[in-house]
Amino acid sequence: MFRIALTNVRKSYDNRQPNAVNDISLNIDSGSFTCILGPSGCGKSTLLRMIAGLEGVSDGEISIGKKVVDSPVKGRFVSPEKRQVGLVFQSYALWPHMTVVENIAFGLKVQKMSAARCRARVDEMLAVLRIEGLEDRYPAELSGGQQQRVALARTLALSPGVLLLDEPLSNLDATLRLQMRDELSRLHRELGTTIVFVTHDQWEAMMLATHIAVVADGRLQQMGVGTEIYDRPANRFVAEFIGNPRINVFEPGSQAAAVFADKVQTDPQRDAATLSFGLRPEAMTLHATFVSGSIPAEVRAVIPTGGSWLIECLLRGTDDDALLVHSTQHAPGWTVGDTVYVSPDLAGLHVFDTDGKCLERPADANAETYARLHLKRGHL
Amino acid sequence: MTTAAGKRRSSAGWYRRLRRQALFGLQDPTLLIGIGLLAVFSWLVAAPLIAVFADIFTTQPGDEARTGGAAGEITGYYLDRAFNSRMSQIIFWKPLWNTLAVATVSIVLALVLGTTLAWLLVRTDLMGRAWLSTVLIIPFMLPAWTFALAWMTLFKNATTGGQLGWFESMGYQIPDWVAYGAFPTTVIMTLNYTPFVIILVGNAMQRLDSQLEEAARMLGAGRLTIARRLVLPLMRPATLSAGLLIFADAVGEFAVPYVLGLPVQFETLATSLYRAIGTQQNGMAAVFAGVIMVFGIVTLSIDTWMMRKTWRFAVLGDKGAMQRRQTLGAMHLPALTLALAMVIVGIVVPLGTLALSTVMHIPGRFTPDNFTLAYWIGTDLGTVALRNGILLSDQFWAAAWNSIRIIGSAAILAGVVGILVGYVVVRSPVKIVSVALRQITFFPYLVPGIAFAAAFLVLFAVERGPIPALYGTPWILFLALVADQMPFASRAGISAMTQLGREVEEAASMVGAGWLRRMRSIIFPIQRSALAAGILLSFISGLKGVSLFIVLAVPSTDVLTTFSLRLVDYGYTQAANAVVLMISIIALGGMLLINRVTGTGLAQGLES
Repeated sequence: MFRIALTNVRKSYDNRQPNAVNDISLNIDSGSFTCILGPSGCGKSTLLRMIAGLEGVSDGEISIGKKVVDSPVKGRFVSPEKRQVGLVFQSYALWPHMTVVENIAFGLKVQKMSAARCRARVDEMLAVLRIEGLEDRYPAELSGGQQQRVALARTLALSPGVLLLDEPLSNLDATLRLQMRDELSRLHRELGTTIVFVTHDQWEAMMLATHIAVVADGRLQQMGVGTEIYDRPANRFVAEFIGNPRINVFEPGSQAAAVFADKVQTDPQRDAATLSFGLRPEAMTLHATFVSGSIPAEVRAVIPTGGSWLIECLLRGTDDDALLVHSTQHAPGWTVGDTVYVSPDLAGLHVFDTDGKCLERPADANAETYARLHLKRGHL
Repeated sequence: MTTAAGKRRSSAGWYRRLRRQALFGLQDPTLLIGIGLLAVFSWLVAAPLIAVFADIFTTQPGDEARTGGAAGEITGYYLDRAFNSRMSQIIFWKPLWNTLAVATVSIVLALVLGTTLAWLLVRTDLMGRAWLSTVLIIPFMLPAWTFALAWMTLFKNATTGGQLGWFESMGYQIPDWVAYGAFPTTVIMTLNYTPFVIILVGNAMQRLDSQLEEAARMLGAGRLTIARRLVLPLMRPATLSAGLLIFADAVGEFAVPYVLGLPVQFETLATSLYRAIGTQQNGMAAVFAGVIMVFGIVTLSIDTWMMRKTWRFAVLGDKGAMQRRQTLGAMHLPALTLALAMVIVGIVVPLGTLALSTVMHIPGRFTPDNFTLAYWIGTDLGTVALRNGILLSDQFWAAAWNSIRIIGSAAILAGVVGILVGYVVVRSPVKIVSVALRQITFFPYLVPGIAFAAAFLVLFAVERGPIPALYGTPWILFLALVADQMPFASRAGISAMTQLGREVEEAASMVGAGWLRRMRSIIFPIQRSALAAGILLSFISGLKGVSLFIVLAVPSTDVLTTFSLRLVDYGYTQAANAVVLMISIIALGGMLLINRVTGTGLAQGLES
């Protein structure tokens, strides 16, 4: 219900250490389901805690709705309980000495709600989260999934305008994850609350979020909807971080990169030997015989991963360690030592400059124009 | 122009930033409370110790003629008298030598015995080890001088007045060196410290992953090689640490040498300190207290330093480490004999002796007509001072009530403050407050009780600023007890708070609970068992303690320990032993209660 805006937010705990969060600007739309995705230690939890008000920013400004909630320059700081923000902790942080009902009712009691209304609200939350029957249990007597529902109920009882979730699915097993995913999507639909969650798990991000903000080293790397981030990574970090199995990246100057560089349209400003190339494992086809534009390679390993296969090959004419990994849903007919011909699917080919920045494609780019733009002599 | 305007802007920005910092800080008064606690402990811990060191160099009232200066003037007289005068040999070096000799010998013995027993209990298939590991640490829960009284009951000879020991009255001649002085003191301190070694070293052994040994065995190492090259080096930090902790404690041990040493003028630093206080030699008392403190501080600094160094290579696993026990085989019987001998010598004999002695008219005569309950519930005994059995005597109940009132309230305060200290240490946003608080609350541990009591006497005997003279009131005991219990209480609080994630409290913050509400509804209820354990532990340790009371108590604030020591002085062996038995029973009961409450036991509070 509220939009959240972060403007040039910086956070440092200790002046001698690098900033935990470094000049991040981020707009989170009202009613969106946004994920802050990044490797551990990238500052994403700090971001969430600063939005919640558990930590203050060192510089910059955070506003929630129309209110500036934290800004050193404006001398403003709104304490957590006045931000209308709810936070569900990764550990759930249920109060172990209180029953389910007491946990949910605590916040209402602190807000001095009358006993009758409090009881009604608790019942409502029990129903919304489908945890009726657990009223008098203590947290230690609940399963992980039930604990999370109680934690959600406790937070939602106060009708927050923004719901913050810290790694919401990471403590659950595979079955529960799917269940909870549906549950969170349902809550998002029904309550219309702005939801922001952080995770290091791209799968979790892709499954839940409408928008993903990728953060690394305390900086925002890219913000966009899920498929956009996968298909059009802004830089090498994002390309490598998103996707499993990882994208194939050939370092500038390597022999494998030279195979690609050879095909890239020469830019007078740019030395082809400084470029690195990324190719998604599924963005290629393997042929038994030479087809136009294909690159010969030798199969080094065939790894079944249950329902899909990974095939590692070494490009012909290269002898460095850079193996090309191909993933496929179809049982491959190759064995180790076979020669295959690799046809890269150019929609999945990304070219990065020395800073790791992805060379932009025109907005209307399709595989053909992209290829024409970047590859010389039209080998394909 | 522009720079001036810029400056104005930035100073306004500075003000706004400060205002925001205050807004941010208001929701979390941890820092303020930390600073408050620091101030209190500076007064309760740091100030008395500084006062003692100041007294060493200051002419005390009444000593003007000796030091040749007015009271309050700086003097080197006391140091000179202690270290470098005709009297030094008697008043300082001899007691120092006695202290160090007794401490060192008993530590070495306790380490050997304790490590062996710990290994038997933790790493072997010793029969009855579960039962033994409970029973063997009982002596640690009893006041050390319980054993001293038991010793006297058994071995006292005709050198001093009063009733004879059992052996003398049975007709055996007990030489003085067996009955009094260094030998019995060493034996008793060994018995008292062995359980401590068992706890510390046993805990470390428990965490030593037996896979480490198995890995060595797979590589072809023999048992001896494994013990010598692997287990011993890995156990060395724990063993050395136990040794140092005991040393710091042993240097200040008062009650045992006091009971056993006086008849043969066997003096240690602690008894010399007590005697100096008793004879109004405040300057000399300060010197003794200072020396004891220096020993404590140096020893424990070494310990802290070593812990830091050794932690780096410690490869001890977690509690879940693999445990495989060694079969003792042919060594089973000797091992079991050793353990049982320890139980008999350390627990059965002393407690049995004390218990029996309280129901016998004449010591050591086991005839039916010699047994009586008169010392417990009799009336019109032929004694001067205590005419009724102790359970019927007003003095006993007054002392018991004082004990509960003073020690109990101090224990409760120490427990609560301990949790608060833990809270600040774990949560303080300013690291230096956390570190300072952690250290100052641990500081009394570095200072043996008798020296700490002397320090308290120096600071609080007279009116200072807004604080009236507290000597003679229960307040001085109360405050000294609180400060003295802080090492345990704060460690318990810190370890409890370390285990409690910050999030549990933040969750309450998010729904609008203020600090007080969070403390009342979240933190303290969650920590209630840690709090109960902290309070009980403080209570028991206060109840057992002698040093603080013997210096700070006056007849109106008589507690059980001072009451029983006075009975010892009167030569009322039965009554004294009965009181000590009562103290032991309360202490043991309390320990069992702690085990119940926390489900862990004594070991935890000592370890962290």
